[in-house]
Formats: sequence, C-alpha cells, structure tokens
Amino acid sequence: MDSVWLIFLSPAIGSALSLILSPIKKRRIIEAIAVISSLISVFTSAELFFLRAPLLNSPAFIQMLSGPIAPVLMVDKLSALMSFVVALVSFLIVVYSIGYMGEDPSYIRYYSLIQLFIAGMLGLVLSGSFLYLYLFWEVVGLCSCLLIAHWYEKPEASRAGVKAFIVTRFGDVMLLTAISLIYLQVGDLRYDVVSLHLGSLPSSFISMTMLLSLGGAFGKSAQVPLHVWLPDAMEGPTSVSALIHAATMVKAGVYLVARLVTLSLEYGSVDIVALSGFSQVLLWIGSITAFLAATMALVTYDIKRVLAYSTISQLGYMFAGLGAFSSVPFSEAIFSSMLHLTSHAFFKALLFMGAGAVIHATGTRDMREMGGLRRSMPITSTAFLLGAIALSGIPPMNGFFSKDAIMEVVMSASPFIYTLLLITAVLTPFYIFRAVLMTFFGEQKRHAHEASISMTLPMIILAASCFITPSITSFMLENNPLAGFSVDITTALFSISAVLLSLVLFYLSYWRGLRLELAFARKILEKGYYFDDLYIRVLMPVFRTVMSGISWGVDRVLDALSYRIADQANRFGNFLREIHTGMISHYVAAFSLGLIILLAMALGVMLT
Amino acid sequence: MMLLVYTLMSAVLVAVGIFGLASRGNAAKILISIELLSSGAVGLVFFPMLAISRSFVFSQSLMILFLSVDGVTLGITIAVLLMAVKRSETGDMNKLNELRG
Repeated sequence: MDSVWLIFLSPAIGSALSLILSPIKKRRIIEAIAVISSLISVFTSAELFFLRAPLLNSPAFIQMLSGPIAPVLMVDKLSALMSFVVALVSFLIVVYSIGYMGEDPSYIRYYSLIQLFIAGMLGLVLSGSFLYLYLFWEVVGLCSCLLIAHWYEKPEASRAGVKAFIVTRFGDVMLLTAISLIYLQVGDLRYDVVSLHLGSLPSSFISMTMLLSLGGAFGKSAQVPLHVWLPDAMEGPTSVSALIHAATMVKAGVYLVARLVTLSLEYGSVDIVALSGFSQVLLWIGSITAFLAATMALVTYDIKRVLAYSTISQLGYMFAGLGAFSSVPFSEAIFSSMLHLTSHAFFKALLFMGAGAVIHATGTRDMREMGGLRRSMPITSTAFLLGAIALSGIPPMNGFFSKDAIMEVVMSASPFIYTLLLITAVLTPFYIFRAVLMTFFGEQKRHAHEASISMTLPMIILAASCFITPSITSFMLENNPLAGFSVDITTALFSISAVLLSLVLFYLSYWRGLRLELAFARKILEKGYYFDDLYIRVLMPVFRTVMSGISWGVDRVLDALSYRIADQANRFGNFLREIHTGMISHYVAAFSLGLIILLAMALGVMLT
Repeated sequence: MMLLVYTLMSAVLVAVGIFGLASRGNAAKILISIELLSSGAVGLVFFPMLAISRSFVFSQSLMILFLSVDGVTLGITIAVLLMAVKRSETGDMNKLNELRG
C-alpha cells in the first residue's frame, strides 16, 4: 500500500483508537495517540511533499480498488502542498492542545474528534474524485460543528455549533448540486475523467456548475453573505479555532476553487471565456468580504472575534487572488493565493495560539479586561506581536510577500478591486495592533502567568516559520524556493505606504486623541452589518411561512393517505383479535368445523 | 361386518370426545375427552386398515405402537393440566385466557 494513504488513515485510526481506549481513562495515553498519529501524517506528507511531488510532471492517481467509485487519491503539487501545510499545523496544534485542554474533563471526545477532523481535512485535499471530496467535505463540516459545541453546557456554544452547520449547509447543497450535474454530464466523478471531458461541454453548463460549487466554497470559507457562522464559532476551544477556523478547514473553499481552476485550465482544456463570470464573482466577493470583515474587526472587544473577522478578511484576499486567473496566467493567480494561504495558516494559527494562551491565563476573552500582559507573558506576547506583524504585511515576515503577490495579480485584473484591497490593507494593521495594544500593553488588570511549554513551543516554532513559509510554497509550485520573495516594486511601495498610513492613524488615535465621531458606523459594525438580523428577522419568517405551507400540504395529502391505509390495517387486526377468545371450546368448535369442511371436500373429490 | 361396527364405534368415541372438549371447561373432563378422542382416533385408523391390508400382524403391531404413543401423550397431558391447575388454582380451563388477543 502506498504511503500516501497513511497520511490521512493514521489520524483516522488514531481517532478510533482513542475511543476504543477511552475506558482506561489515561489522559497521557490519549494525548500520546493524538501526537503520534499526527506526527505520522507530518512525516508521510513531508516525504510526499519534498521527495515525491517535485518529480511529478503530471498528477499521479493512487487507487485502492477498481471501479468508478473506488477510493482514489490524486497527488499533484497543489494537494502535496496543502497536505503538508495541514499536517504540520495540525501536529503543532495537537501539541498545543496538551497544554490548552490540560484540565478539560471531556478530553477523549476532543482528541477523537480533532483527529477525525485532521483525517477528513487531509482526505479532502488528497482525494482524487469529487465523490470523496464531498465525503470529506462533510466530515470536516461535522467535526467543525461538534468541536465548536465542545463545551455544550454553554448555550451559546451549542447554538454556535448548530449555526455553523446550518449556514455551511446552504453552500454544501449548492456544491452537491454542482457535483451531481457533473456526474449527469460526464458519468464519472474522478478528476482525470472529468477534466478530460470538461473541454467538450457547453460553456453555459461549465459556468453554471462552477458558480454553484462556489457556493460551497463561500460557505466553508466564510465569505459574504455566508460568513456569519465564523465569528460565532469562536465559542469553541481556542485550539479548535486555531486549527479549524483559521488554518485548515476554512481554507477548504480556497482549495476547492484552486482545484477547479487547475482541473479546467491545467489538466482540461476549458475555454477561459466560459470562466469569466466565475472569476468576476471571485474577485468581487473576495474583495468585498476582505473589506467588510476588516471593518467589523475594528470595533469588537472579543480577542478571538477580532481574529475571526481577520480570518474572513484574509480569506477574501485569497479568493480575490484566485479570481485574477482570467487576467494573468492562471498559475500565477493560484501561486499568489496559495502563497497567502500558507502564510496565513502559519501566522493566524500563531495568533490564535497566542490568544488562547492569554485566554487560558486570564480566563476572559474580553480585551478590555486584559492589558499589560507583556511583562508576565513575554514569550506569548512576542509570538503574538510577530504574528501581528506578519498579518499586517510588514517585511520581512511572510505576510508581506504573500499579500504583495496577491496585490500584484489583482492589480492587473481590476484597479477598483485593487483599491478596495489596499484600503483593507490600511485597516488590517490598525485592528490587529489595537488588539496587541489592549492585550499586552497598558496597565495590567488581571494576574497571569506564562503558558506551559507545550503551548509556548508550538508558538515559537510557528513564529520562526513565519519567516520562511513563502519558500515552502515557491519550492513546490515554482520549483524555486526564492520565487515567493520576489516583489513588484510598485505594489510593494503601495502596500508599505498603506501599512505606514495605518500605523500613523493608529498612533494619532491612541496617543494623540484623534477621535472620529462615528457612533452610527460603530453601531452598524458591531451588529456585523445586520447580516444576522437580516437572516433571523427577514429570511427565516419567509422560509418558515413557505415551509409551513408545504407541511400543511403534506399533512393534507400524504399523511391523510397513509393514515387511511393504517386505519384499515388496524381495523382488520381488531377483527382478528375478536376471534381469539382464549376459550378452548371455541377453538375446538372451530377446528371441528374445519375438519368437517376438509372431509367434505375430500369426499367431493373422491366422488367426482 | 364386525369391523364396520367397530369402526362406527370408534367414530362415536371421536364424536363424543370432540363434544366433550367443546362443551366442558373442567380440567378432569377435558382429560377424559382427550382420552376418548385419542382412543377413538386409534380405532378409526386401525379397523379400516385391518380391512384393507389383511395383514393382521402388521396392523396389530401398529395398533400397539399407537397405544403406547397415546399413553406417553396422556402422561404429558396430565402433567400440563396439573401444572395449569396448580398455577391458576382453578379447575376451569376457560379461566386460563391470559394470552387472549
């Protein structure tokens, strides 16, 4: 068996093993299983990434059985890169969990689910057919829902889990429709067969399927208007937020779009004109999401929600970068997006880990109650600051190079989108340094102490890797470890001046008392542009009315029919019940009667 | 001629047994009825067979076999009825209708 299978089977086995071994109630054993299983994934995916994938000229398909629905994996540069990043970040977060979840009583459920999630995510990026892509897509969705609701005693947590599940369902239904359409047209769901046939399909069909599958991507990656679940998902444990809602699962949508683009343009021969609507939607939704989420991050006081909005905003950048594929060579668009995806996976996991350490130490998520933690938590604050610098796009951290790559491709796609992303780049340092300032500087309000080694060590590793991640991506996608560090002077100057402008504004507003009286805007932002209210006040009553109409129809027609049939069966049963009196004499009389009838029949037969 | 009389007698025994089962509810009377029914049934099989087969030895040995099987079933019947009477503390079998639908 190919070692590629081991990448996602080892966490899956680990997940089952934790459940099987749960009766012995040894925390160390369950933790060891999780660490070892994710470490195996890291090693096998590193082997795939560094040794095997660079030698591939065309995607390799690894099949377990034969037949159209047999499990099949596809290894190409994209999936090798994704699986390595996912496995590495997952491993670090499992190690972090040992400290973070150290006192949690339901640790078995936690570790079992988190390993199942890792298996699902690795399976998602490695699968070689839309069937398995969708299967693992749902596995990660389910694990996300269950892990958000890990502390289900809190009503907000269980509500947030359900919300995440339901909101992403809207997108998933669209994705399922797209996959079904592909199956109806092509008759197969394996990537190689599909990409072979895509070129010969009508362009209207292609654009429709692509747009439908975008629904799935936008739901999973929390893009406007399906972003409302991600801020609420912060009710889950911070390690879960770091893994699922920052580093891996929310990237599944970006991966799906990148995969569709490679399937149709690199491996298939789809006319790029058929995809122009697709690229426009990506550009617009991506940039609008980036901007709206960044503005929402400006006003929230919950440290995790700041990071959640920031994640939504950065995912918007990635989608916008992908959307540029129709204006620049598509490999450049994918490269820029993947570069940012890798950078973001590392620095956002780092930021979440820092936030988790702070929450663990202070016992609150409200930044107004923190402050001054710089002195008591030096490692965490340094790591968080490095993550903030990377997120803001300040050289020499990875965020600068990756954001610059996206800016470069978007500039050639559309100047308007570019401007919108540039404004977002002004907002980004502002909100993240606001969080840094409120959390780590100023006067200390709560007693806190530095986190344990299992929490600080992953942070140190991630902070160090934030300097080199561009070379990981460029090594894989461009065969040149330094390609990610090349910058276009014009866009770089614009980006740096955006950051400088942001820092100047930051200085003015926090040290020079620059107050913009924007109470009205602040209200809108705190309400998240009323998306939640729109859904709850407007869409849900409409939906409810339509559904109750349908349910009335079902009651009147289908139910009435089935009740009628059931009534008849019931009546017949009651009739049969009447003749079972339990009196011997009745039974004897009945069988004597039967005997007489039988004898008479026999006599009749004999006589004729 | 005699065989016909014996056969008719057996049929009368069967009829009496069935009548007893159908009309009486007491355990002892049911037992007697069963006994009448089964011995009548044995006769009803044996005498016509004797007339048809003409092999007296074969028919006689079959008769003895039937009678012994009859004895065994009687033993089991008595046991069952005794248990039923003990459990229900009544001799009326029609009161034992707990399994009624």
